[in-house]
Amino acid sequence: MASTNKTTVLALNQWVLSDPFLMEDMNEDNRKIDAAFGSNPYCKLMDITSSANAQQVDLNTSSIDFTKYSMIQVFATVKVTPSTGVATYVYAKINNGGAFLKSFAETSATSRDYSGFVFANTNDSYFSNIKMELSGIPGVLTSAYIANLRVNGSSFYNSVMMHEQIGVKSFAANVGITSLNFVTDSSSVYIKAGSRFEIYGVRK
Amino acid sequence: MIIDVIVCGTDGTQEIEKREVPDNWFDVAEPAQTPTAE
Repeated sequence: MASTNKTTVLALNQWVLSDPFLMEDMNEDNRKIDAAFGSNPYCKLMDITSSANAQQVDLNTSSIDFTKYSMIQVFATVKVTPSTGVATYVYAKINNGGAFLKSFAETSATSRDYSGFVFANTNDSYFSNIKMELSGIPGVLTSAYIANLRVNGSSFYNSVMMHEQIGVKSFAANVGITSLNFVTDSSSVYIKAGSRFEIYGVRK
Repeated sequence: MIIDVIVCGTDGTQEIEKREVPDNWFDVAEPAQTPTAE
């Protein structure tokens, strides 16, 4: 016999003390949860707000099996400090390395030390945002593998600043994406506490 | 050169590391493009 009350979305059992607690009701609830979760391919893999100032923020992604996802989206909303009145670059890297990138204004791709960047404002009134999309991430055991990158950086510094780059990244054999890195362009500039980093995946 | 690195885990943990990096860690071999103003 099912419970007296139900949840609003999935009609899961909500028992009161007088209700019998039956295995078949729990199993049915679990089946509903599994089906609902599996029907939505978009999931959050990481959502963290930095707690201290640092020249570099590393997102440790070694526990994520990226081969399960058709696409990975990374959002970094950052502030930098100190407020010197001079904007600074925040570079995004993968495995502390760069990628082969081309902006839409360029005619050919170039090997760069970074995978993306944003020209960040040191004014506390403004955030800067980097969006990275990775697709075509092959398996760890592949001998040579490449991710398709698309990176957008936008900020406000005296005027609207924005750019977009596309590119590819090669990995050494048997190495996956173990970290995503965000680095300032100077040892005297810090990514400010309160910067937020999110990773989402679209499951295959 | 020693820098501060915050290492964030998927479980929400954060650890601050003092990490030694090369002196040219902040140098970018291929300069970023000039910001495009709208």
